[in-house]
Amino acid sequence: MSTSKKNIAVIGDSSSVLCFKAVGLSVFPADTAEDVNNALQKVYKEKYAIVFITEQLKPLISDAMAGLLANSLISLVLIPGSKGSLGIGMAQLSEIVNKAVGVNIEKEEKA
Amino acid sequence: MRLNVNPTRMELLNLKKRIKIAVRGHKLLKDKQDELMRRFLELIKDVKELRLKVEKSLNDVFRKFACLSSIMSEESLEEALAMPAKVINLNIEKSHVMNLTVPKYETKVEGDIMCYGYGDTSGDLDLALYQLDTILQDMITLAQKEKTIELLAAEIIRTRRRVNALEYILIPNLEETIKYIGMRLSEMERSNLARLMKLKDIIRKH
Repeated sequence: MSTSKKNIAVIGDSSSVLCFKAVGLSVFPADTAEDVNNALQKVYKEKYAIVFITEQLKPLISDAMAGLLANSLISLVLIPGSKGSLGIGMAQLSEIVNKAVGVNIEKEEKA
Repeated sequence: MRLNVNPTRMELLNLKKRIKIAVRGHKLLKDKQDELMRRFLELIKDVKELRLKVEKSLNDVFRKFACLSSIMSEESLEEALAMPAKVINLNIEKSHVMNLTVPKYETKVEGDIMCYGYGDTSGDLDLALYQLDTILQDMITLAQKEKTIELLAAEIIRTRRRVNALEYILIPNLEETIKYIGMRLSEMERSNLARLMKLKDIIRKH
């Protein structure tokens, strides 16, 4: 088992990420697609293990970057931004479950 | 679909060996799939609960910060948080679930979140930061579990493809080919026997 020291990064609009700075995370304010992908590039190359990114920025991540991160051990986690939750994080989770299980479990649970 | 092989005894033996391996592989993969699925379903419930909790508390923190920015000016808020004293070091251990490598995070915290003077900041800032600090651990656990789930899901899909390919394509094909070769060989033997009997008759008449 190998261990290594890594950091945590937060990417989001400046008002959302400001507070994370104080609790010891590395902060990358980003608003445009270019900012987001540059920040992710940096996160991918340097020693980061977890990236929290606000849901608002999720559509701006390029496919290539998403693929790179998915194949690495870096976990990309969606968090709600300061403008509230869009429910994308939950929806993404359900999608993963649907793909893996092949059926929508939640519907069955409700029925 | 029948495999494109010569109907010989040697091929028959080879195919019988192959089908034995295929059936064994299918059983193993099926077991693996079941186990992956069991772990996956176990995790998914946890993660959903954790995500709900984290999202709720984060929204709470953001609301507090929004209120704060109405009390304090943006500059003084940024100034207060500009030099964080707290450093989080993440230790990653790689643990194994079946054949997968999943990350396991352990945090090492240095310093305190209070990195500003109390003079020109609101007391609500302290509260908001304390709350954020308490959910951070949950967020890290969430990151770990979500990554595990992503990896598990990808592996489940891959394994299911393999199981199905063996179950519905390879094994039926091998069975069909073995049957075909067996029938072809016995047919050859019958025709050979008939020819021999016929020959014997002709020789006897002479």
